[in-house]
Amino acid sequence: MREFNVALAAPEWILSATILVVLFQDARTRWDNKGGLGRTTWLGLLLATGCAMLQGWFVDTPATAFLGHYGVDGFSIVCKAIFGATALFVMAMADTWLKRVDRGHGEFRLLALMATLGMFFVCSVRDFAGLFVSLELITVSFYCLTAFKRNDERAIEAGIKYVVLGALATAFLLLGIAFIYGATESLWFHKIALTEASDGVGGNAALLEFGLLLTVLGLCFKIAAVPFQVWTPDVYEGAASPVTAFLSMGSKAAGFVLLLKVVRACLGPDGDAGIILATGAWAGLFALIAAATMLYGNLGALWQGNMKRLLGYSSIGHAGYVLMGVLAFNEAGFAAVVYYLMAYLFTVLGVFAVVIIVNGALRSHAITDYAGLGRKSPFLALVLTCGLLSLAGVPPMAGFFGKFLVFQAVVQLGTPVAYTVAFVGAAGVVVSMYYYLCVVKQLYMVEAPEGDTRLDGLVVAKPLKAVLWVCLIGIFVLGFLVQPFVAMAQDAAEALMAAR
Amino acid sequence: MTIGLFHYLALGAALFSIGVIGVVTRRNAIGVLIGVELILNAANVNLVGFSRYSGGLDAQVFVIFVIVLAAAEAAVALAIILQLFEKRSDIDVDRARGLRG
Amino acid sequence: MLPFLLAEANQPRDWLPVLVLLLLAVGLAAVQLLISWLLGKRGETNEFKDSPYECGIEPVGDAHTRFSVKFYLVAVLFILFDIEVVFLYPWAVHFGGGEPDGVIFQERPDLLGFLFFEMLVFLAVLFLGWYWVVKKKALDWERV
Repeated sequence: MREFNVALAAPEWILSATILVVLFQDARTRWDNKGGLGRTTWLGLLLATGCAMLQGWFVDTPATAFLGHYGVDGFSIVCKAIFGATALFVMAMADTWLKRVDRGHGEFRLLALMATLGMFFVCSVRDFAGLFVSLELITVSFYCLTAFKRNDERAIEAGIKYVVLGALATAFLLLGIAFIYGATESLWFHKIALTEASDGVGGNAALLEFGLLLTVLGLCFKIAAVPFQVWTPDVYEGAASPVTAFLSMGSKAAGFVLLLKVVRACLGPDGDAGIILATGAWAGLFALIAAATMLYGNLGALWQGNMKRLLGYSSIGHAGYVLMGVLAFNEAGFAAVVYYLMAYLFTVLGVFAVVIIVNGALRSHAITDYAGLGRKSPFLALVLTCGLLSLAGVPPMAGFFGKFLVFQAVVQLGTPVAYTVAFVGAAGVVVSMYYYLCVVKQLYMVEAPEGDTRLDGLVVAKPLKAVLWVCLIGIFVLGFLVQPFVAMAQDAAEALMAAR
Repeated sequence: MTIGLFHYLALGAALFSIGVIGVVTRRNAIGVLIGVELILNAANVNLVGFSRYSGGLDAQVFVIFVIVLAAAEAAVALAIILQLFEKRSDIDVDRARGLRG
Repeated sequence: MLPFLLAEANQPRDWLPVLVLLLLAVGLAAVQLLISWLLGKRGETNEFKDSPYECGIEPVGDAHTRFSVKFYLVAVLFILFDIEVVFLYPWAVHFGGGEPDGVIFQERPDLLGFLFFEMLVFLAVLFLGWYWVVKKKALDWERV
């Protein structure tokens, strides 16, 4: 029984138990008495996140469970902390948002919990079957969450677009896994190595590369990168704001965690033991995807009048920056990705918290309606400003250091392709500065129209206020006290590199 | 005549092509969904074929999971499509364009 | 059938059964058409001849009736619970009822209890889902 090592998966067990308890509670209570569900959800999420973090001290990493299908190492622990924090922040936003919705509280919390469970599993999977199942757990939960406001035609439309493209991406991903399995005769990440041709399948290396290509394309949907990026602005606009926040951080980070694992399994700069060399065509492919994604996101964001669409395009742009870290294929690059995700967590969720509060008063996401927020609600305006500047990558903020590490990792490669991508990225940063500052200008330099009192006396619920403070502090801590967090990201990247 | 791995792969490739053509040409959301299911099944056929000729059973177990997940995905997709149909009696994906910009 | 898929079937005589089948299919259809053309009386049409049923009740309404949405919900839930059975088959085959000739019993007798417990957990989760569905009145199509 030792090989099952059931207790190692404690965070997942806690989350699963929470889901079952919430399911039971939801079935037992009337629609107007759902307070208990919220408490159970909070308790479960806190326990699971705490447990995942404690594993960093009390588990002798790397450890495996369930015959090796489930693994805990430095990388998975850091990622689980990120996902747990994301889920907690999103739940705080959802608490406020659900007050405006009278039905479906139980379903919302259940779906959010299931997506979180999927994200936790994503960190620990060690084979392609686990990858697919955990990814689908996230994706299917998000299909439902996107179309959650089922009386709102825009939400339904967003849901349709997300489902159709998502299902197509899933199909590509699975086909890619099938070809990788065909070439390597194994679903394990750590056993990927070319095998002798079996029964006339010639050119196994080509089969493996083709499979990897399809897998990467399928994952591009999750991270909102070219060529599967078109859904992003529409879904961000149509879905409820807490869902959009969850999508922009949790779902995207899950895609990146899996991308890192797959890339680490199949590609390597050293070309050891049958893996594909990560130079040449593959570096070129990732560079192409990263550059196209940055251009698409940053140029598309230029003429957006809707805050959530703007954040949608900006999220595409950020996927491009993080991809730059992936394409470095080395420890520095992977550490940069982890750091970027940590910084992005506080930044983007802070921005979304403000968007939810403002939308609650305005019932609109038009950027022009944010006029005068700086005078009417200085704290909200401050958090939004810091968040946007951090997204833009202005020096004392968290986002700057994420970008710095990513650019550093790429420039250190010293190849023409790397320089080109870095140049495109730098151009993207300059462009993004413009549209983020346009919003900041709207906050402080433009006065609200006469008689518009919608933003007067905004009341911020306690959990949301906590989110705002934590995000604000996080943005500055990850900008000033960089060293411990960089060390954490480097440890995670080291564990990832050692996972072979 | 014996059936070899190549025949499985050919079937998979045919299913994949039919599925992609369905996804690209259909304007009906359910038609698109059927195309996607065909691609998923193309992958399933490939997995089972590779598994049969490489000696391992893991991919066949994986396919069982894929079948269940595909059913769950289809159920959710149908629910959303049906909701759109109730709203505008029309499930043409090309006419779903309230969100633009 | 595409010849290039069948590497071994490269002799013309290997294709003979296909040819026979094709001829049979085309021939049968042609013969049937020919017989009806030879024996049938032509040019005699009237209202009754053209109606869907020559005798019986006149059909009312459109043949393409739409089913109510509420049946759809039940159908989807049926498919979801139905497909879960897929997980039971491999388990049942390998578990072999815990009998000495079961694969698990022969290879890993120490895991018998664990595997049995795992399936119980799976079924319990499934049952809880069903309970939730019933409590949400999703199977209650009179109400929807």
